[in-house]
Amino acid sequence: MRSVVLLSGGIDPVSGRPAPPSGEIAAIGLALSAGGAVGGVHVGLPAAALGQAAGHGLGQIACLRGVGDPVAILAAHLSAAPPDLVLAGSRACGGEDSGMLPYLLAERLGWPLLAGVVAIGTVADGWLPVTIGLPLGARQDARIRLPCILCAHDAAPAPPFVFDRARRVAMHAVAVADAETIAPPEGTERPYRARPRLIGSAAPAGGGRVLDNPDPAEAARVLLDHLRALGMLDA
Amino acid sequence: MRVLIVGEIGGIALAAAMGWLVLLARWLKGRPATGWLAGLRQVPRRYLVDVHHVVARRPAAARMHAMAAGGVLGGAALALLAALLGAGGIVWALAALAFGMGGIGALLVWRRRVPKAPPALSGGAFLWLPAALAAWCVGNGLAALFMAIGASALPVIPSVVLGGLGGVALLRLVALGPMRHALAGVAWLAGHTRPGRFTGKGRDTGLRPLDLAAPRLGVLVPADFSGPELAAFDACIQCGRCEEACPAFAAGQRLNPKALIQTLSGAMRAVPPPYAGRPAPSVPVLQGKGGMGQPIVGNVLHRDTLWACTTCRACVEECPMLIEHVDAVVALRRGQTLMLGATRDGAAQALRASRERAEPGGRDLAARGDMIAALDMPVLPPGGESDILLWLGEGAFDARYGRTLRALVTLMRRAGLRFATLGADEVDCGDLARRLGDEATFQSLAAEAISALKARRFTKIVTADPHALHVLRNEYPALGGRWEVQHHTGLLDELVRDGRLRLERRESTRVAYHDPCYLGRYNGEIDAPRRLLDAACTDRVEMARHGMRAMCCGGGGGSPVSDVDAVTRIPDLRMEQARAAGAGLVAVACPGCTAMLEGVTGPRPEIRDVAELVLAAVVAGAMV
Amino acid sequence: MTGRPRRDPRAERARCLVPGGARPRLVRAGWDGMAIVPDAGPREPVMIRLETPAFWVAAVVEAPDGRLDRWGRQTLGSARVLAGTDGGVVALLVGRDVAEAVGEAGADRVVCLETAIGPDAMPGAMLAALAPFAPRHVVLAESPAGGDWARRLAARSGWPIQTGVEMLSARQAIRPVGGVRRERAAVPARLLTLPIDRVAPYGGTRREGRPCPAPDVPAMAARIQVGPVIAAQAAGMPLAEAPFVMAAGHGVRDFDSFHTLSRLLGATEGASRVVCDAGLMPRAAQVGASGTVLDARCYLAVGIAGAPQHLQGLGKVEHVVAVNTDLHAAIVARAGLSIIADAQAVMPALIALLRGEG
Ligand SMILES: Cc1cc2nc3c(=O)[nH]c(=O)nc-3n(C[C@H](O)[C@H](O)[C@H](O)COP(=O)(O)OP(=O)(O)OC[C@H]3O[C@@H](n4cnc5c(N)ncnc54)[C@H](O)[C@@H]3O)c2cc1C
Ligand code: SF4
Ligand code: SF4
Repeated sequence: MRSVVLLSGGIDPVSGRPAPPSGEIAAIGLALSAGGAVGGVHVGLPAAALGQAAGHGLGQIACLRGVGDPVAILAAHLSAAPPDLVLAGSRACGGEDSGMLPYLLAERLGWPLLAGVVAIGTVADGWLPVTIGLPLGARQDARIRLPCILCAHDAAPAPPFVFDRARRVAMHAVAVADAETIAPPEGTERPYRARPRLIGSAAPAGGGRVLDNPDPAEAARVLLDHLRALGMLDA
Repeated sequence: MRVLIVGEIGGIALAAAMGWLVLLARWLKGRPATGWLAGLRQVPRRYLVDVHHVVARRPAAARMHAMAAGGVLGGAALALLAALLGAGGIVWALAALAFGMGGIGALLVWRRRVPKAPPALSGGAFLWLPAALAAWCVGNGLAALFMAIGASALPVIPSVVLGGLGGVALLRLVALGPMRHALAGVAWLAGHTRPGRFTGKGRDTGLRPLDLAAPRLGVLVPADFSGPELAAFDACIQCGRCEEACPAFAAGQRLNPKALIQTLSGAMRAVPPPYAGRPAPSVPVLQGKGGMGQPIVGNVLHRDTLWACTTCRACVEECPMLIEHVDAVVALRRGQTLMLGATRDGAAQALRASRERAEPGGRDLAARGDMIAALDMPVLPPGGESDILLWLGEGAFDARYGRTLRALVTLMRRAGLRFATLGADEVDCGDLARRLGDEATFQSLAAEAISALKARRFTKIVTADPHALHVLRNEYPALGGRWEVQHHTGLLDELVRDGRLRLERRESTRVAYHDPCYLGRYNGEIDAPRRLLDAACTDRVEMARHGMRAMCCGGGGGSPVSDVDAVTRIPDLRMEQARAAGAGLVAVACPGCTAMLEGVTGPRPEIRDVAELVLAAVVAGAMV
Repeated sequence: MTGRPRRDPRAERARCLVPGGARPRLVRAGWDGMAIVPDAGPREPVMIRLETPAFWVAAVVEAPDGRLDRWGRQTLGSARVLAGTDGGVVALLVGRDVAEAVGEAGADRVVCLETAIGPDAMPGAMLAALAPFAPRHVVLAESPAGGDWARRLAARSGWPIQTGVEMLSARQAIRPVGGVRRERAAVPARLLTLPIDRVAPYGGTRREGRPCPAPDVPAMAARIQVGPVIAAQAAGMPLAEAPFVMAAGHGVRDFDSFHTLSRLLGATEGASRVVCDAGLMPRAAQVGASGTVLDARCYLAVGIAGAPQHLQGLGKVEHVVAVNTDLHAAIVARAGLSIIADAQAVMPALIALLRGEG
């Protein structure tokens, strides 16, 4: 089994400092759990966040130095020596952050893809069993044919950061052929402005209701009605 | 007869020296230390002054030790001298006198555990110690006495035999532990890793920077410790003073500093002598085998032990052998964190946030000033100049500690001081990362903080956070950042003494001051806050443990984020001590202590920072 | 279409309320094409029937259990925003048919696709279903499934996509980029995905929701096999993912009632640090700065004071309910409903009530 983890570099959303996205750390964890050789691939120059990602368990990272569409560059690189498994996070952090790259790559390579993966099993007959994490702790079992692309769930177990690994990582620049250029995204970019969300439709009107010293039965009634109104007892 | 005595005492001494060399050979398998041998010259002074300074805090123990050690060694030296030089009766008499004193010492050693042994003392081989000492002293003492009075060989021979037997027993007790401290102590005092402790200047409490390019970071196996440190573990006399002082032990966490040091000593040996002291509470017995190249943590030392330590240095303060427990703990943590990434979950989160957000709580650096935003604090831009740089610290994110900072800022304004903060350029000082063993993150935070500070001009740094104070004052210099750093209580004390702030005592409930470890034990500052409180409050009491020997609140060393299981909570214990002192209010001087002690549930004394109490008492300042 | 659309300020206001504080605040920016109601005064409820709109906008909606949820309605609402007055909305329903509700939520046409199609074949099926409509835009929820389909669709079709759009109008879509530190405003792309609670559901007159035939799903070699969804039990759910958490503080002494109640309510159990320190609950249950930060919708805090380090764990919780003897406890200030009473009395009463009801 040979796995490749796609690394985007990236920044921390709060501080803006270099940091690998959680999903990519989870992807490294999945790759390690698959066993066998694991390497990282990044399109672009070596970046600080790559070393940090490596600290979670990568011995080497190939930095593909070509100009143009990263999907095309990756596809060319991966088809030259196809791994069994390509792992990615759910989305990058610090660029376009659309989460499209693994999908475009899968389409171009003609490989199947599954997202939201929290665990992987052992290969049998060319099928890899995986577990998909869904909201509210729900899980779904699936099988996928190798070679394939898996996007890790952000909450998949993250392997610990080990400084010793981060400092030892071998980051080698790989010169690759330039690819077709892609148009820059349309529109105007500006600093983010947080916009409040709409009230949830199930939310009760008003807030901060206080019931001072009710008798227990009344308290229970009010509590139950409130929880019902919030839709917490539907299931 | 003289030949016999030379043979007996000399033989034992020679055997002891051989034993020392055997031990030395093992210690030398540790990382090399420079100037170790040269340090031998310092040993007598360090021993007679510094060790005895600690020992003497318990006069009975000091008497016991002086008599036993003085008698055993002094008698032997005098007897050897007399025998070799063929000196007259007077030297023999002196030798007999010394041995006699040693005999009394042996009696005192025996009395320590009889009728009832204090729980912090070890049993096992220690129970044989008085007999061995007594045999050596009585046997040789009698021999010397007979020589002094010129008696025949008849009574001398059995005396020498008795002395010899005692000597052999003492040698055996070197191997078993109780007497090892005498030999290992010499090596440890010669190569002590904190020579600054002996100079009388400063306190030498800062952790040493780690070379991040070294192949092995921190300690995984005994051989990763330096030679003198290994000698230090062998030098532990199992007196249990550290155990009595340790807050984590008191709270029932899996840490007993004495057992820790003994474990580290045992870790060097495949078959360590049995340990007969109290173990760390509820720690399961580990089956691992020791050896210079065998892993320590998880093998012979329980993981939780490592993360329970609050780095409060109470053990170090008490240790008569001047052992550096905290350095050992941090060295082991460095190995776990940097080489294996094996930290506790909460700590791993805090370290990740420190790495990626330069703030262990993961908050936006720009939000640090939010709690004092109403005060419109000036922010010093790069290239800017002010008198005082106010380092806000991690507590600034907390609404409760915001009140303290507002009090401090108000007082500084009243006194007409010119000061500013770094604003969003203030990164975490790295204290937490460093104590948790993440030296890499510490060094990168420190480098950033130092360059931010170097880009501004000011005469001194003031902070209300003793942890930041310690790091900035004692640990940044090794990384190239040297400034005058003052704690806010020091500054306020200065302002009151200069008359720039005038206080009028407020009728108060009883106030007890809780010394923050990083201000007291780490920096020796215990008087300024007390002077301030005496000027601000009418009724101040001391808790039983205060000043340099105060008990920790449980907030240091990353202990709160490590969440090690305990039986009781350290702050609850400390609060109980405040109640016992009759305090209605506990004065604090650290954001960590504030949070920990305010976290004590149920009715309890109030918690106020010294700055808040001073503000309440201020009647005039330069500005009014 | 009957009559000229006009804005209904009251309905509009109601839909723009945002949480936070006792006094609701309004967000209006960028939200045009609000509720559309017929011009005439009160009369019999009517249904808007659209035969040949100028163009189509599609909304892909999940309804695995035959119910249209809030997010689905909002997705349809945003399709209506993009359709404006001239366009029609086609709902691509994945799951069971809920045509009735979909019409109410703003769809003029409905096409149903089976969940069983599976993720690999889904983009092909969707493209086949959408082909007759040649939609100008396709809107999906940025949910785990919706987000996955949207990206597969984009990769297959080559259509430009804007993911995680936080503000949408007919002329502009704004989405965060650069690690949510920057945002980009652009003309809405052909494909869009929407996080929850960003665009209001449609509030106008019912639409026809006319069912249209489902396409033949092109066969393809099976590369992925997906099993059934296994729902988590509240008790075993990871605290960080649980939607409903009931937590015990130092004020809880009757832990039997606490455990019984959490089971009856279907809530995942949490605790304050004091309780974990005392070993009354496992450390993994700890909520707060040094424990788990919740992502729950509702947090029932029993006997918890609400220390700052504890409240840090409630960062994202929408609804806090407190049971506490102290009216001045910090948790009361954070709670939407506070019962000032002894937990040891309230818990058994609630248990009795729940048991009595069935
Ligand atoms: C560094 C640090 C980190 C911390 N991290 C966390 C953390 O992650 N999570 C956390 O929870 N805490 C944390 N704490 C501890 C925190 O400060 C508080 O001590 C703790 O949250 C208090 O827990 P509590 O509310 O259960 O207890 P208390 O403060 O004792 O509150 C009990 C509450 O129950 C009420 N009560 C009493 N009897 C009854 C009754 N019969 N019926 C109903 N109500 C009753 C009381 O009025 C009171 O409000 C941390 C502290 C520090 C210093
Ligand atoms: S530093 Fe404090 S907590 Fe750590 S071992 Fe020593 S006394 Fe115990
Ligand atoms: S470490 Fe020091 S204080 Fe502790 S038992 Fe040993 S000698 Fe005594």
